[in-house]
Amino acid sequence: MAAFDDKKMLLAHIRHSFVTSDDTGMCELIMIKEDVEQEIENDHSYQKKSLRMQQRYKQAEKRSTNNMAASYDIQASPTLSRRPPLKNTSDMFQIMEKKKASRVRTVQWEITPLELVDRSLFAPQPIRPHPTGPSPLKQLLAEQDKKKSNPFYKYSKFNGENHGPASSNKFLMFLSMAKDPLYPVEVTVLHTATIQDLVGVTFWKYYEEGRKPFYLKGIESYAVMIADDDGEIDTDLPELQGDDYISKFGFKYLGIVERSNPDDVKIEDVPAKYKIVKVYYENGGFSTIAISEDDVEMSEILARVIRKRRLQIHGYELEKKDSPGEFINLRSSLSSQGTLDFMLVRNTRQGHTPSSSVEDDVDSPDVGTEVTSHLYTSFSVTMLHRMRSNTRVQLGIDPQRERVEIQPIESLKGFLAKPLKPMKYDINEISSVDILEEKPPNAVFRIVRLTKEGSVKNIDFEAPHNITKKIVAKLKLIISDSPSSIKSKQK
Amino acid sequence: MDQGIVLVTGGYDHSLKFWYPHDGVCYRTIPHPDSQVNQLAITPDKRCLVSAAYQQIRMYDIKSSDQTPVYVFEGMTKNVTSVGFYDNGQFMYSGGEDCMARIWDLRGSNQQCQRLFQVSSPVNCMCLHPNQATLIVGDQSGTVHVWDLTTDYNEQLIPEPEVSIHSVHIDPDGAYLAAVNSKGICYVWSLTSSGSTQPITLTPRTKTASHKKYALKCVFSPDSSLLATTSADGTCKVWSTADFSLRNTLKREADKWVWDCAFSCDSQYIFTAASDHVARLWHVEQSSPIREYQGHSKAITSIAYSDRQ
Repeated sequence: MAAFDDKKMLLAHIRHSFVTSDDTGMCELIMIKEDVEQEIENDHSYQKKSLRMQQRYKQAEKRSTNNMAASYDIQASPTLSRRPPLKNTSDMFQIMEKKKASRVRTVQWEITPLELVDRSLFAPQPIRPHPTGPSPLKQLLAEQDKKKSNPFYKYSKFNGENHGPASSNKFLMFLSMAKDPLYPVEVTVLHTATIQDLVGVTFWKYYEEGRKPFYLKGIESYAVMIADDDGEIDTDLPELQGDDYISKFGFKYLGIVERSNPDDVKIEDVPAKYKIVKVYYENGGFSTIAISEDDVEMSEILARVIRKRRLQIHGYELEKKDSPGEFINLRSSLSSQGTLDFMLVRNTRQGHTPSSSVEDDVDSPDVGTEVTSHLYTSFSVTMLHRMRSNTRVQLGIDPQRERVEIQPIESLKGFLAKPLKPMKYDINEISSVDILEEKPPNAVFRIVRLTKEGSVKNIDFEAPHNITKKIVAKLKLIISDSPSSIKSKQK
Repeated sequence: MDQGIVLVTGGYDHSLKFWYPHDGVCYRTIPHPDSQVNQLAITPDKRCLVSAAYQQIRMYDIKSSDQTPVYVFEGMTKNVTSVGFYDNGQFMYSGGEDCMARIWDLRGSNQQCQRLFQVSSPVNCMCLHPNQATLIVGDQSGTVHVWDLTTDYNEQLIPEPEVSIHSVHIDPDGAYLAAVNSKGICYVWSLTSSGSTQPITLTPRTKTASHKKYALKCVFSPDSSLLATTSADGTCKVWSTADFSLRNTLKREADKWVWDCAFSCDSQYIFTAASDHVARLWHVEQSSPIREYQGHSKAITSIAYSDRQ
């Protein structure tokens, strides 16, 4: 231990230790620093050490310390890694392959000298009669043909039930057109299957389970969509592409809906136990909600839609799809509505809870606090074009910044369709807003705009009557409040 | 399979595939590295499968899941084109492009009795007479060699010089020898033997232009009532051995080479292997396939089937 203040001794020790016990890589650093020894030699303090100690070191040196350092056994790794190098995996595999290959016995051709050939082994033998009897293949085929009565038999090859999780995925499939849409089909599908094959396997499994069959069109008529664990199909999310491999998706719950015309799912087809309520959204799309209870309050349906869409709890109302503009009393029951198709709309009145505002909205939909409000409000309206098809836009009115924003919701289709750009107009540019004509239940209103160049431009919109009234009233209010030189010019 | 059915295919994609014949599912794939599969054969005890490959014959255990062969037979310099077994499983015969027909002794490690038969052209096909004493060798020069193993006497038949013989087969009753060549012609000889020790004699029976293109394979059915021939014209034709008249033509729309075929033991079904990567199962009386075996990525050139009880 006394030698631990001897630098050369330490250096020798480190060099020895490197071979067996260095996990940190520090020894390695010292090892490759070749001039360490020279530094020690030049160190004055070291030179002052007793002659006896130096002699002891020199003896030890003779015993191969330096030789050891230069030994081929000691080789610094080029990376100076802080951990000993791992056994290379590919080397391991090579060893395993060699082991495997060593089990293969090789037989080299050797010819036996003709005189040593025992020809009696090749003496003619009586021809054995051919065994008669049916082939087991025939029976197997017959059994298989029975199974083939399933119209989706050809998809059964993608059934991955016996293949383990490494090569297959498990899904719970909700069939919206089945008699029992909330009772999913559990399928295990090979990774090699596409989304369309998944539909095939699901239908195959459905028949195999002996569940009540329903009329099915070809596989192509159905789309796979993402579903919730309670069987609600998210129809507002895009369908999964039919030719994508299922291994691409990580969803566990999926729904199958008829692609061509989703309205084909007739309510009377569903047993009385379930009611399928459809709630449409203002910007397109709809959600289906299955109601298993006899009757529920409309507030429950609203709550479920809001939960499903992860919307804010307040600020939304339900309307009947065929009579827009009239909010439904949320305390009324589903059965009293006489329909199962509803529309989810924004209740633009800020600060009011939906339940308390219901009565007001139904009674006087055209007068609301949002008209006088200074908060930003937006309305879903249709922008009318003379030469082109009409476009759904979001008309936003921002009283604080004194401007009107037009945000297209859908792109124009058809000949000469130029994409509609979002537009922002200063309130000062707008000279008047008026209702042009009534097209019950809608109304057409016009915003007259005086451009900076001095030309007059009209923009026509169509919206439900009550919304039109709100927009016109609100805009008029803002215009009247705004001191505008343009307006005075117009006058 | 529990019923003792083995169906294996191999081809140019360097893999061997085992199939469930009744539902078309591939349950095992073995890589066949460095070589295409020229021919497949199953040992009589259905324990092993052999593949004729380039310079090698590889023997695989059918029951195990191991992907490497149990035995590799070496010593050939070129492609091995033909392989088969004696009924007792003690000997294996092989023929190859090195113009040699060989008999391998499988009885033990000593290889006491291995025999060689040299011909002047690459060997295309071989078959063993059901009496286990005569080997038929077809070669590229269009010669059919009849090699009597007991006496080592051999004779040659040349149905048409320089027209390559692609397949030879003797029916299980030992009554006929069939051979097909590059011109699509099928030759049939009647085989007779005056006694068990006498060499067999061949008498020409029929010569039929069975196919328009190369004929690739001829196989008699186990009950000797049918002869199937396959061809590059995309057909497999089934002939009745009673009068060698055409009984059925098995054809798909795709005009792909049909390389190989195999009968079921009841002679009712026939498997075909084709260049369109698909093997098919047919009933001999029907004109459309009953099952299809899809999974190979290149042409299937060889098929082996055994359901013998």
